[in-house]
Amino acid sequence: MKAIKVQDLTRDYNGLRAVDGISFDVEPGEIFGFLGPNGAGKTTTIKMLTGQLRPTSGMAQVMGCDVVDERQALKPQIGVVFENHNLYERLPARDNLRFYARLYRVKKSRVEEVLAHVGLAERARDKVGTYSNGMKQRLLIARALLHKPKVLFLDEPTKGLDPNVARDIRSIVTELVDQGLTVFLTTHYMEEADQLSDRVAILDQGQIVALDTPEQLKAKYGEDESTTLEDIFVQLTGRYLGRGS
Amino acid sequence: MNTTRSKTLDNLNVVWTIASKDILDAIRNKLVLSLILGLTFMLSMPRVMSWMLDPPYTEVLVYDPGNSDLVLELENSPQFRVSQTRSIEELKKTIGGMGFGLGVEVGVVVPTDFDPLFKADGQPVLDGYVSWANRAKADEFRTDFEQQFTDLLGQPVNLNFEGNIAYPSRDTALLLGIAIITSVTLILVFGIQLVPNLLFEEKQTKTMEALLVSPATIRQVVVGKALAGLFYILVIAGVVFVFYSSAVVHWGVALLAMIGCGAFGVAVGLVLGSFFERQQEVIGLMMLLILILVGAMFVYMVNVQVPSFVEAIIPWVPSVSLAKIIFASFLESVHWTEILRDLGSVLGISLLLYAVVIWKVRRSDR
Repeated sequence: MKAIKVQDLTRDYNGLRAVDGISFDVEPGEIFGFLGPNGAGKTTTIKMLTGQLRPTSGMAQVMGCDVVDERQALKPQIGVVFENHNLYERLPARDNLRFYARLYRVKKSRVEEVLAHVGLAERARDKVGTYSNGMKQRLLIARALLHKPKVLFLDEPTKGLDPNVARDIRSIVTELVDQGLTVFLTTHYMEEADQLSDRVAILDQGQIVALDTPEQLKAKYGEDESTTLEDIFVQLTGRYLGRGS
Repeated sequence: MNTTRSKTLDNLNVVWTIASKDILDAIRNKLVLSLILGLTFMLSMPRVMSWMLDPPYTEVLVYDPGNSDLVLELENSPQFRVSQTRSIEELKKTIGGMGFGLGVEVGVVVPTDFDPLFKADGQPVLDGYVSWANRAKADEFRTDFEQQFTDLLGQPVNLNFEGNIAYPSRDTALLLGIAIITSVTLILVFGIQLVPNLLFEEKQTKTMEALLVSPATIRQVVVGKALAGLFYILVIAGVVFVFYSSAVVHWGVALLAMIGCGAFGVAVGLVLGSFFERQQEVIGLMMLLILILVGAMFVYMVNVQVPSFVEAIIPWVPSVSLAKIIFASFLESVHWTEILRDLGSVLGISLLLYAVVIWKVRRSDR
């Protein structure tokens, strides 16, 4: 079974096509990088794959669950780390997690486990409002892992973080994949995508313009060995947008 | 069977988890305490003003069919301010509508044989009346008035308050009318402001997105928020009713009024919370809504002349129905048909609003 299976997925907003008939599969245990400029349709795709938004047409399954018809069955299978730090800032970190633990019917001891996993056990009693961006990001990851999901969606997980914290987050992600988790990652940082992803899809104007391993993409589109994934991204999306590379 | 039971328990767990988070948050962040203090302050203001402006005389309402010398003495004394009624019924009606330390609180019926009895060195007994709301103060009034009358006339005068409780009537209970308008206004204003905020907060901080990828469904989130909102409204209604508790004759009816206020306040709050994204967008609409609800109540309670089509609509406005139920909790006799009709109309309108919320919520992923 594929971890994620997407066929001709389309989403329109007020007559505008945000996602235009995309198709791809993600294998279990894979890190799948989903790249694209702002407004390319990355977040809309994540919203459809996590059951927050109904597709206009097409089909998507996550761990065999249809994202429209089996939304409730899908929820325990997925964890989502959102781009914005959507946490209850007035509550301590532990209470934030305990709230979701009750929703997922997860034992309280699991809260302590995930807090320790992301290195927040010592600050668990502090209100989230007092946390740095890096700590909030760790807490978001802890929240997404509470119920031991099979697929983790990471929407720009290192955006706005300083390099050291970003590296910590990346190492947490790598650890999780080593434990068998599938990761669907969107990021603006091409180096990060290159370093972490087994395969990447480049999305532009709602369509996938390239999908392969970073090495294959470089081999296919690169001019020499020094070509980076960022060069390919600019070449593909720029050419597609008619801006030139 | 077991699956159904387990699903119901799961549903309840999610709804209660969402509701209890907001309730505990409100308690921890002292919102509930601020609400109670704020309401107590607002409700106490008229009483505080009355204490501050405490007149140097005692007000007394008198029915004196025998034109006794006592009333002449009272009228000539700077210690008293006397108002007379034309019948004992009028005296009871007026006194019945009084309470909360405001206005004239004691009515006295002077027997026709007061003068001869008094002149014969007898000890005439006057019937004293207090309102239901002031029933606990009857003994205090008796001692005080007996002392003042005795001092004034130089001879003992007895007052009997035993069993002389006056109840408010529909047409004279001005103070209660004001109390009722204030109660419904406070409950609805706070409810209509607080309930949508519970949803706005989740939307603005984007925590709603996190909730919706958790096992919670949008319907469970809305029901959870409704429960938390109901808690706020019941706290507010509780404070209001405790404040006016001395005037409540029928607590069962008062409870129905609280249920009606809760159902309607939460329904309006949820409609606003599901159609809009933030408080700033709805302030104008909220003000207009509150103005209509309070205005209708005012027109009904104070009997303002309005065009006939408005007059036909007014009794169906939920705030008016709620005011009527609260009023009924203050009256001597209960007219259950009227109360149930009013409660039915409030619950019916609330159900319609809930249906609108469900319709909107179902479309939220489209």
